[in-house]
Amino acid sequence: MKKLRSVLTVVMAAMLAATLLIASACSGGGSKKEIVVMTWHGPYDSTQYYQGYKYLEEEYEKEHSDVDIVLRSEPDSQYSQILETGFSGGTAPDVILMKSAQRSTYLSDLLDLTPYFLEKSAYSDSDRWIDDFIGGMNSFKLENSGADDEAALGYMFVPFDSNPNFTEETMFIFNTKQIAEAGLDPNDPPETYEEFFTWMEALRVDFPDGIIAGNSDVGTKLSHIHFEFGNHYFDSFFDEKYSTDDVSDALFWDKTYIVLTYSQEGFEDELDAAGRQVPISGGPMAIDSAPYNDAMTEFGRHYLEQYREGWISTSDTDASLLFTRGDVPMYTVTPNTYDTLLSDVASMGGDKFNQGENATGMFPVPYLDAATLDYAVEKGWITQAQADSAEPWIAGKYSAQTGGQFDFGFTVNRKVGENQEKLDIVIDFLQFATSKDIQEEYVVKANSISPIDGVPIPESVSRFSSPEPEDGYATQLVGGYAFEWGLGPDDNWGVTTYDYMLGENKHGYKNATELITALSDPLWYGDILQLSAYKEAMDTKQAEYDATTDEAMKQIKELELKIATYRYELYKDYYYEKTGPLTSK
Amino acid sequence: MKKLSVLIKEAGGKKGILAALKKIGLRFRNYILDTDEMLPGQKIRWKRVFGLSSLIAFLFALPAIVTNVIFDWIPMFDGIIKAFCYVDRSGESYFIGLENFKNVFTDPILYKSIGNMLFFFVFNLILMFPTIICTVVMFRMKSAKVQYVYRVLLCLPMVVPSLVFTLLWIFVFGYNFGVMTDLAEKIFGERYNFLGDPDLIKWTILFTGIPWVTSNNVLIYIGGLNGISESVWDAAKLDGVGPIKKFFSLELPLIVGQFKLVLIGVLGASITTYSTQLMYYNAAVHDAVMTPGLLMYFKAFPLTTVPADYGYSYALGLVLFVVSLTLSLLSMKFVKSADY
Repeated sequence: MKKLRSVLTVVMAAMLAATLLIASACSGGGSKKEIVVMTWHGPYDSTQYYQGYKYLEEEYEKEHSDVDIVLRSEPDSQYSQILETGFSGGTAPDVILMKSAQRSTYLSDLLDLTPYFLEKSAYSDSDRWIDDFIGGMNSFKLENSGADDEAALGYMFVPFDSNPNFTEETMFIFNTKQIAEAGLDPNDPPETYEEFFTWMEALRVDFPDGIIAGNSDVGTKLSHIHFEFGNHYFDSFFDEKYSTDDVSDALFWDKTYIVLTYSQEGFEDELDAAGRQVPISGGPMAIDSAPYNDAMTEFGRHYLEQYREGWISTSDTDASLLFTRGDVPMYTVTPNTYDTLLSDVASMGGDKFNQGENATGMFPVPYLDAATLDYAVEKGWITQAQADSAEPWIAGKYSAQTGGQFDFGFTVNRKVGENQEKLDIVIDFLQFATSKDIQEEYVVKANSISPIDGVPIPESVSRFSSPEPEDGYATQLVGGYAFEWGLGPDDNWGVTTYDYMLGENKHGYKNATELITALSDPLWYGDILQLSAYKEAMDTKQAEYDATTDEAMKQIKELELKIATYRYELYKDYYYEKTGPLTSK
Repeated sequence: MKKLSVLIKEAGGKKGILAALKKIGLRFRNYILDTDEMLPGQKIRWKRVFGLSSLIAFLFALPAIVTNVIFDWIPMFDGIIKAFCYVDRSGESYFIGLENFKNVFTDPILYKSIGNMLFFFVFNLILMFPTIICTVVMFRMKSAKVQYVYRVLLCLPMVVPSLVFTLLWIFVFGYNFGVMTDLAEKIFGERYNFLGDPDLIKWTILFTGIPWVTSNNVLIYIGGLNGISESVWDAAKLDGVGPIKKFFSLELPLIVGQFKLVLIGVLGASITTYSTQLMYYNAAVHDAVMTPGLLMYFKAFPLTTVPADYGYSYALGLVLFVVSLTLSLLSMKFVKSADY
């Protein structure tokens, strides 16, 4: 027994020593500089993005043996929570993939990358790094660079996995045999929502419990309909000079913020506490009475009804299983989830999927046109008057969410700027990652698209795109914002909307206006800066313009000054100094 | 409202209040300095307080104290302070008095959520008894070896995280492929959406606790039963006490101490419950699973992209803490242990 005890003691001591050694090695005992890169493109063990990011990591570390690139993937659904806690607690990663709305929220925590974009990249022949990107400077949104005391406008992110002229989107995948059995032509899939609902009607005979497999996510489903409405609607609240081609995209979010926060009561205490100017109190919100609200809400309801019964509590796995088993003929996929779908099928031994009579086809989320409105009137979903009100504001053609500008990419934690050595590595890594040679390999490995000029789009991705209409994609479709920027009586717009559309309508809303009035909420007022900050930004741009002598650069600075000036005037005239309600023309 | 002067008079005047404060101070001193309040005038045993063995013991306890302070106390006090502040997205706090509490108490969602919390609260109390009954049955087993085997079997599931069990039940009750849904369809002729029907979800959550026997609590109760003198059982045997009477007159009263301990845990967990509800959450069952704990969570970490309302969460957290503490203190005061 004694012997056993002594042996155990030695083993335990050895384990403890080994643990301590490993712990010290893991805790950065070496001299490598660690850069943490966070994305929502995961999980890394089951998506093709991992192959791409791994390639970036390995290639960079091969050339920079003193750097350790740590890849971190977090689910999209938890991303906002992680950013919120990360920035509040000072634990946010160094490099973070962010969407436009997330940048707006965390601007004060992000580093302005403008000076680096205007310098030459170490991995390119262009004079400036920004010129390597498709569309150059014009494809970037100029954003407020964060904190109130640093109001200058800047370029806040490095585009990645995106292309301003290419919309990679959700596609409907369908089982060709089941479609044909319903008397439909699988080679002629729907383009408009009228054709889509006609398909649904035919398929309902064989699939009375619903046609499309879906998970419990309400928001994404409704966005397919909501963002077919509100075509340039926010422009109608402002002077036409803010909607010209050269400034319209750059001022889009400013107009959005004003429409969605102006003229509300009840937030004076919070605004005072936060040291901000109090907006003018007034009547209901401008979007409450948008002319397309009734039609949009009814289409939303009928669209949700096409999903297989029970979807509200269905997991992703179950949804893909429903489609691959043939329980439903349709499912939605993106380039990323398509891979997961295939691997799900493979793991089930479903090698017959997508083969022979189980072949599949795909089509992009349809667009809503005038014929669809007529169809809805004919079906009794909406009245002729509601269709007429909505018609000027519908997409009418395939839309591009990118709107000719980059939307998401890598931001840099402002804290990185406090350590020059680390900052140099981060900038070098981002320039490396966006170099043409690396991107050409990356897009193939990651099954992605590139923001860099001249990098081809892989065939596997190009099929996940709507064909571009001759007169270009529809842009600035804002119908969904009335829902998504609010909270509502259930503290969750998806809950309230689902209840109104498919539930018991417990709040007793009589129509869409009542629903949207209940949902709209000026929650984002905190992201509007003090007027003095916009003035300061304008003055800064004026000074830059005055100091520029190069003719080409002068043109760019002139546009930047125009945008900064318009932005100041927008907030001054339509937010801080406006009286009475904000109305659509 | 009584005037302050009247209240002071009722408390025996200023002298009475001073005497009460002195009594509290003395009790506090007794805790810290290891003296006995029943022996007034005793000397403080400074050597014992600052002796080598005390210091060594303190050093052993130091890591626990430090981590406790950093990870429990500081966040707790920080939370209490911030309950009175508006906290913006950068983490800056601005004092706004009782505004957050006003928002909490005027929020209709809170009152709906209290109803759900009471549902789980009541059933959690009722469902404490299967564990007690299971323990007593096990305790009565004559063979120590068989008792040991059952004890091990009961403890085995402890190695599996409760999250895994919850996910397992979500599969079992799934609408499309859940075995329970299939079974219900065979029996009743229709598919029930156990996870998406607001009328069913609370019962579904309760059912997933089946057989409602908690391994930790079994160990606590069995420890209590093992500590009772054999003479008590012998006397009961001689008196011819039947199994039911034995349960109500001996076994149950004799483990009231352990029951109190478990009860405090159940009270706290029921009042602040949110994690299981979060696992089962979807848009259709929002109202049915919303508890004050889940409301607090969603205000700090909204599911949609709306800004977080930390002040509300801090205030509600403080309210739940006070309610939970009060109920725990009341249960300690009014649930009496039996001595044999």
